[in-house]
Amino acid sequence: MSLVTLQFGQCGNQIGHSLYTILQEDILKKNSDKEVFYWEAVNKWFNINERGIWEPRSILIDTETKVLDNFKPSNLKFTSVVAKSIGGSANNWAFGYQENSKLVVSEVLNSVRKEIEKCDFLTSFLNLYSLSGGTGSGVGSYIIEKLRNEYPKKIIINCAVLPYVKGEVATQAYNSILNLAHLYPISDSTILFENEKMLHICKHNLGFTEVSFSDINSVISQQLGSIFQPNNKNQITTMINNLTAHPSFKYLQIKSEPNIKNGSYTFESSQQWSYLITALAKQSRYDIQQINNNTSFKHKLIANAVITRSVDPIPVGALNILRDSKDFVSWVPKNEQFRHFHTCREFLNYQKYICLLYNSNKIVLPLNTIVEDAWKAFTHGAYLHHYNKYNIDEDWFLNAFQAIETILNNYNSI
Amino acid sequence: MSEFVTIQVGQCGNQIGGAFWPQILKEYNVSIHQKPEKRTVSQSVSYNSLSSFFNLTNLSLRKSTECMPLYELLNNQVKARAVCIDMEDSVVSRFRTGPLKGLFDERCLLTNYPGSGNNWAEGFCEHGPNYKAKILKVLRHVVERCDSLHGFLMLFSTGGGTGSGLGTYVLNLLTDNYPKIERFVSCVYSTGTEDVITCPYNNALATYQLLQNATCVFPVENRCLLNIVSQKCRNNFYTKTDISSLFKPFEDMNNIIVEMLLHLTSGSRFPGSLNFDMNEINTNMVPFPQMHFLSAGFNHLNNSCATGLRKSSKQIKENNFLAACNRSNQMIKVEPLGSKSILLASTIIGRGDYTLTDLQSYTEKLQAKGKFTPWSRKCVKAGLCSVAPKNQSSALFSLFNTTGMYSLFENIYGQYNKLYRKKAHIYHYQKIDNFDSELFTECQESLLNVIQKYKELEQLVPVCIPRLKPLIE
Ligand SMILES: Nc1nc2c(ncn2[C@@H]2O[C@H](COP(=O)(O)OP(=O)(O)OP(=O)(O)O)[C@@H](O)[C@H]2O)c(=O)[nH]1
Ligand SMILES: Nc1nc2c(ncn2[C@@H]2O[C@H](COP(=O)(O)OP(=O)(O)O)[C@@H](O)[C@H]2O)c(=O)[nH]1
Ligand SMILES: [Mg+2]
Ligand SMILES: [Mg+2]
Repeated sequence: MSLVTLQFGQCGNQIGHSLYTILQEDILKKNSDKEVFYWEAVNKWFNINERGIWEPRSILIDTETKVLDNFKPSNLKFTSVVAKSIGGSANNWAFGYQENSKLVVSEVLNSVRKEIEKCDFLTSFLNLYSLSGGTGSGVGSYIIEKLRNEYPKKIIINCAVLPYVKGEVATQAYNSILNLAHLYPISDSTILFENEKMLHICKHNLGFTEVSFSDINSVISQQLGSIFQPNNKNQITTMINNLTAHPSFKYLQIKSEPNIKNGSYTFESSQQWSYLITALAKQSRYDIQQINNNTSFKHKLIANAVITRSVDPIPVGALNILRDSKDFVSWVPKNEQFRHFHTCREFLNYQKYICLLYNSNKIVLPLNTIVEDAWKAFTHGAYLHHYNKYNIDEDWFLNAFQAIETILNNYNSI
Repeated sequence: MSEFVTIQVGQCGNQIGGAFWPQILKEYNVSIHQKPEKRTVSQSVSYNSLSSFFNLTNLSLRKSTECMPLYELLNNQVKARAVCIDMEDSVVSRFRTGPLKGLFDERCLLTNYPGSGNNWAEGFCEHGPNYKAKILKVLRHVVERCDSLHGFLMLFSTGGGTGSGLGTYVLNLLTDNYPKIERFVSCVYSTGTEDVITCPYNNALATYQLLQNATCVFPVENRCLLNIVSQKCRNNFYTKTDISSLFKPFEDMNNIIVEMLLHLTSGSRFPGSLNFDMNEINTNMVPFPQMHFLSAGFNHLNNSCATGLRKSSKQIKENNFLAACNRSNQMIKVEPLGSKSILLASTIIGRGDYTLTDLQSYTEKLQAKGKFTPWSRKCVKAGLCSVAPKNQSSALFSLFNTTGMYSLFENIYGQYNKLYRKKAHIYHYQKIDNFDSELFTECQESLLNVIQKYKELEQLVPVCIPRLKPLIE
């Protein structure tokens, strides 16, 4: 059972690079049940070539080459690279979607076909990109659309990075809503990562004074790795699919533990399941801030899945605080609200690792800010000429706004 | 790597170019001295990245941390991707014989005699049409050698005749012939008529063209450069041994422009974990058509030893940020964080050991101090470039699109009007064959129009349209 990843733009490629490095590290580390897990995991993510070199089942897509050139040599070999040296997509969704995507699409789809031929059985696509640039967001939208046409039955899971809220790209709000609106109907689930929240974790939980993208990316990759590494019970992708079974609620978010300062990791208490589960169930400081800014907000959960990885079993009942939350909506049957998957194997160098994948109305908080920003700029006509130039006109924008408002409204009214 | 063609026109443009190329080479550890004193080891850069400003016909260069003499590069048939145009010979001829000999493709040097008489009309209406075919041929020659041409970078002054007139003529040729390629212009404004009596006309006529045809303009005012130079002198910044004594007397001033150009292009030449490419400037910094004049700022006193104090790297970095926003470090006379002007868009680029955390704290500071339109508070572009300027551990470069820019246009307009009211010197323009006197009034209108636009944004009444209603199935 394999996954094919598509990494788009600077963000997607940097995260992808970090993800596969972590996966390889996790697969190669010593473990008792080596055989079964080892081959399952290798086959899921890698193709090992005749010279024994690990080739990620991943396609690297960018419209400039500086990012890929800058990767340090490693013992992984990315073989499917579609990087055109055309100077990027100018932080403009329209440029990426309408122009640059057409220059890469056939090459990308060919690479996808080739990767699929190398797999025994492909279950799903994993797309990595940021929402605020032009390549990941715009080129990504176009390619994923084509992917859906060519593979109508495969599961498409997107991992999208939301920009830092205070602003890091002037057109970030436009690019984000254009991408989200475009991909919502054609993808199965979208896991949203907030750079702002990641930064918060790195600063306040991991105790870094200076945070770099590689720090943020390793947190993201660990979360993704812990979810997608093989699991002795079930198909992960089916589980994700179940979490987003209702077509009006397709956004997922992730929380994980432990997130503690380097060094303090050895403390006895932090290695107890009860400690980790309590930490996970608690609202994070970041979430509390967000909710306080939005007094009318009341948390509602649609569904949850917990993934645990350790040789130590979870004590009976320990997960009840997650399972019995009063926040669940009433219309989801009890047995679909909560699932737990335990794998009796350590993840990376964590004795215990726990990860929560949830579908809840919390996603409204960051998305609402983005729509607010985009709407303000739009009603003042700012920056629109860059989009009009590529035939993305006011009507296109209005449709995108309408689509997102509808998604937000659905989440708001649960 | 996306590629750029540098086009330097007129005396000023070529003098800046003459200072630019040695410095850009230096960032790749290439020295223009025949024998570099010592092959010092420094920060490693990939010669691949040379390709954004140089033609590498047969790239066989290795990645190296060692300083390399220019001739070694030239032996590898590396050429500057530049077109040098002047209607006199004195400056460009130095490229044929001086220390930069061999760096330029002989076919890309275009000169003539005897100049344009500091008359925009001579450059634009006479030399332009006469040289059109030749210039287009040179451009074709250069463009054909590119794999992924991204932009033109033009350098000229607006006060003279050749750079101002022929420069803007070439700009229009680019618009017509390469409409999809971006056109960046860094132009020098000399305010006042000390050296050129017709300067106000030339400034205004050139600005009119720049408003219509440039993608982004990075204007530089000579009076600001002078202030910066004297500020540097007061701080004992100069050790008079620098190589660029080639082109006096504007040497120190031009070095500041060069520094700006190096920062501006750094993201297109070097990688970074939040890469900032030149092609992102237009999208991020220009919210409305024609509002594409940007103010650049950076710390001019950032040599940490010059302050006599040893500061922590955090302080140095923060200091660079504060300096980059300070009005005394802008290339034109504006105050980005002043109480009157409103920011439409800003860019902060950290070079060297800046981190994400730094950029975000600066973004917040900027947002706390600046004034914004209802929509522009978050219009901040942040970028990281992993390679710092030579001999610095870090540098911070900022760009601002501020409504304060109208003071530049008001100044141009005011000076222009002083002459035009008296119809002083207009004979020199009217005598040129293809000069249409309408241009005088058109450029006036165009300046008033752009001033008006900026002022409207300053007094903008927020539009409050409620957000769309969701679709209810
Ligand atoms: N988490 C994370 N976010 C990143 C990373 N690199 C960039 N970003 C975010 O991605 C956004 C910028 O988009 P990029 O990925 O650089 O853009 P792109 O897809 O390459 O598109 P263009 O450069 O516009 O052609 C910003 O919001 C950044 O914060 C990364 O390595 N990790
Ligand atoms: N900063 C700077 N300004 C210059 C330089 N050379 C000329 N200028 C200014 O440019 C104007 C004259 O333009 P010039 O370039 O000599 O005319 P051209 O050769 O006809 O384009 C004058 O106002 C000068 O002050 C220079 O090297 N640096
Ligand atoms: Mg990019
Ligand atoms: Mg002159």
